[in-house]
Amino acid sequence: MLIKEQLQELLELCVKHGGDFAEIFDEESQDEVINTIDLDVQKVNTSLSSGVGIRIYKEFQSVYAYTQDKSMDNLRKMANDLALSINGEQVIEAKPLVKIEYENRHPVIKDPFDSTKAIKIALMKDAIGPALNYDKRISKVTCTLMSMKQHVSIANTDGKWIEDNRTRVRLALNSFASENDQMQIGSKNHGASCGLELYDNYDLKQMGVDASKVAVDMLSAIDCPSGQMPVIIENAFGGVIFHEACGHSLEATGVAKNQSVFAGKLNEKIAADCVSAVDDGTIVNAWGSSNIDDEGNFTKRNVLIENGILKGYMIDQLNGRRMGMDSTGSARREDYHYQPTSRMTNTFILPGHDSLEDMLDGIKLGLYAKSMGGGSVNPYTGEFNFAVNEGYLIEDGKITKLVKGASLIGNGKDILLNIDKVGDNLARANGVCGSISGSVCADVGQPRIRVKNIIVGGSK
Amino acid sequence: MNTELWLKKANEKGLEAFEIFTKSSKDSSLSIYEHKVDNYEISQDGGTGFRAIYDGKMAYFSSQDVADDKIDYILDSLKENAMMIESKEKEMLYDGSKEYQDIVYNHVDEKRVDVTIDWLLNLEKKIYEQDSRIEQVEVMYSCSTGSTDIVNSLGLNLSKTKGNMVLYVSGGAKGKNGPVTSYVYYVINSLDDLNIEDVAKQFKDKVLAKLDPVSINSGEYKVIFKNDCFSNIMQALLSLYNGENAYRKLTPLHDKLDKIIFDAKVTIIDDPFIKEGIVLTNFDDEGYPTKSKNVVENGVLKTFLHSLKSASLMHTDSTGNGFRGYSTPVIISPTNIYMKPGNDSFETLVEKVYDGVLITEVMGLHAGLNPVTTDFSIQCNGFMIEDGKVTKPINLFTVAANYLEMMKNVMGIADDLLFEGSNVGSPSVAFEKLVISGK
Repeated sequence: MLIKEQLQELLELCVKHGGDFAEIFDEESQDEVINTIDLDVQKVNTSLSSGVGIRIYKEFQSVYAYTQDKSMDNLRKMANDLALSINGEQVIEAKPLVKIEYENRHPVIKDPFDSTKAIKIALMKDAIGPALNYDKRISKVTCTLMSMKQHVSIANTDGKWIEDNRTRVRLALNSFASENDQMQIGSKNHGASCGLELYDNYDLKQMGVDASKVAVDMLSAIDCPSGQMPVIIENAFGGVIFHEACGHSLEATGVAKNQSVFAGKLNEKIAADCVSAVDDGTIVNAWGSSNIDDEGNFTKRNVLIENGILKGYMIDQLNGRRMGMDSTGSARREDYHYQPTSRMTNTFILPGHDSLEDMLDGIKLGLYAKSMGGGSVNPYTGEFNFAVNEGYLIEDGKITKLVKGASLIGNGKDILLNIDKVGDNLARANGVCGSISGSVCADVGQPRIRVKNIIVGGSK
Repeated sequence: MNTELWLKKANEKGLEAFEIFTKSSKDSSLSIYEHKVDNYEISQDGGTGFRAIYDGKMAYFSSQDVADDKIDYILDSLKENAMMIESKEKEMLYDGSKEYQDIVYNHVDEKRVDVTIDWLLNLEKKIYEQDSRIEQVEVMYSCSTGSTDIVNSLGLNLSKTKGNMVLYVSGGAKGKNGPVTSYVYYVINSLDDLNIEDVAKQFKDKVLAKLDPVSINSGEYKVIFKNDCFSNIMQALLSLYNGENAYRKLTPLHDKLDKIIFDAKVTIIDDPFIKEGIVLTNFDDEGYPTKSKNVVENGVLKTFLHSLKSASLMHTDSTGNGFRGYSTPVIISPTNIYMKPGNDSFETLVEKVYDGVLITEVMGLHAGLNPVTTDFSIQCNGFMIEDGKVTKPINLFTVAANYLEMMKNVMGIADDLLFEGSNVGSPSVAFEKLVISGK
């Protein structure tokens, strides 16, 4: 990693030609992926990555350079070329760097890179075995254990110098069921920002069984009806509705340029009174958490919506300039290849008090979305989609038949106003979120909620 | 890097076969917003991926620091990774013994950055001049050049280069009920390949056509998927033709070789040399020669796509479709894959449909499409087709079907093959009856 004198020299070069802020992002990472098919280890891949990203701002403009060649000759040249692209007279000096020390909020007890591969493979098989044995119709089980460690050092012309170490593990299992000519899939995953101790108190056997149960059950799923209807969305990954319908549209990435359906709506009612939501990057060891964001600012618990009123956005420093607002510790990037921008961390709707019976009451025909897939959104128009992987019909107030998946679509500006019941069983689940600063690990979450009316894209 | 030293050491450590795969690239990109350069990015990046066979097992390791003093650490790590493999499936590298087709690699003509900036600013100005309802225009340009080198202990020693340039314009237009957004996307060798007036007009036409969309009633409709849209759906289902999936029975087509799977109008080709595609290579990332092949011919499945390993498992030859990044293992990937265009013009296809729906955008394919069952339910934007003409824009609806069932009954295929900046191409395709959910 670059030492203080090197960082200082590069920052000074960066602001020689008119830049009013500069930042160096220095990264070293290692990743390991173990893949199995049934009980055989198929692939083991280790990758080491190391690089530097240099960013310079001038007002709202930013210029960025990145490279894997950390030699000072190369970095000086890159910093110089980048600074010259601004093409102005020097306006600031780089302040002397002062290292910020802090206590790590996200302890790692069993570092995955200190554990033997044999231990990791045994852990995977604790889930795979029960998945394979669940039912004779299970034809294949694939499993991936991913371990990653990222060490970042961020220094800027405000004199800030701060480091962070992020360790994450994630186990993902796919179970395939076959019957006659049909095949179905059930998927489960579990990960967090910590080490393998995550799986000490986690029921891996149940994870395997649950994945296989979904695959087998889906063999007899019927077509999902289509049209507008009430939908009850279960907790945990059900939170992807909020992530797509609202979350992305509250990132300064779109808001700052008025390219969001929620731009300019602070302190206005954008959701039903029963909806409150936060984005919290401080939750200990959560999948989307870190000590600092990728501009070196401490992560925060940001209240986004309170009783239906928009209270805040997620803001990074550059977009904060456009908006005249401070950073909320929300700048994230996949790695040094990307410039940071405001992204979600762990985003969820807060719990309410409504029971499942309350939510089923009065529904003649609806959908109970037990388990969700991902989705996507156009923050500018507000139109979003997300997929139901495991759903059940609701008929006359009762949960009845299992249906094949369907996408639910809507507009974020309407859908949040259509949530009329919020349950008390808040839970979060892991996802990987893609946007202009790359893929980042993010939790979604919610308690069970009811949406009065949403378009269900069934095939019947 | 002293490759000879690495190969020698690998041999000394008992690695039966060893390969060094290096990728490097140089990129630059610019974006224009509100009449200024909003973002400028330059980079020089790359890395090296190693793979080795030890005791018959293949392992992978990659790093961006491959100084010769790292040899022992990396080779020992590879051995350790290989020893964890339990699969008994045969692994192999390629020795370069077959013939390669002659090829001239793509060369991009990048202008000086200030000249490029002027061109982009000019384009942005011309776009705003088209119509006062146009807003939030972002003009993005990127240029990438790179090289790939493969050296292995069986004597393979190959290099290739690539270059591509992209112009992407996104923006919106203000309608009575809210904004709409659209984009245009071009893969070019030089900005001189484009005419600013034409690009501005294409963007204007595309975005204004979407203004003030209406809802559509749920029901069954005749549907045309526009070419760029249908190639997105094809792209999400490439795993259907994956040879390793076929071996493991993870594709529903696994037992359908030489059987009718689609309508007889459908031919799907994988071609590494077609000039409209973005891939141009005479060897894959295992060094195996690439070739053009019919994956589906007149509705019959003719071949899966194979890497060396999947071909060996299926007792056939590699089809030159083994590709990788330097930090990721070899996976099976098409070169340029496309549906063969038909004879009807797009307008003729619309007339044939007469009353139905034209889908021009699909969203949520990564979540709303099940690659194992090929069931899909995805968000769409599009237009009504009424009395043989494309009429009102429509939004916020879904289309749902089973892809394999749908493809058995194709109403018509137009002649408008398009690869929109990807390696998957398609013409516009019409279907008799699909379920649409809207109002």
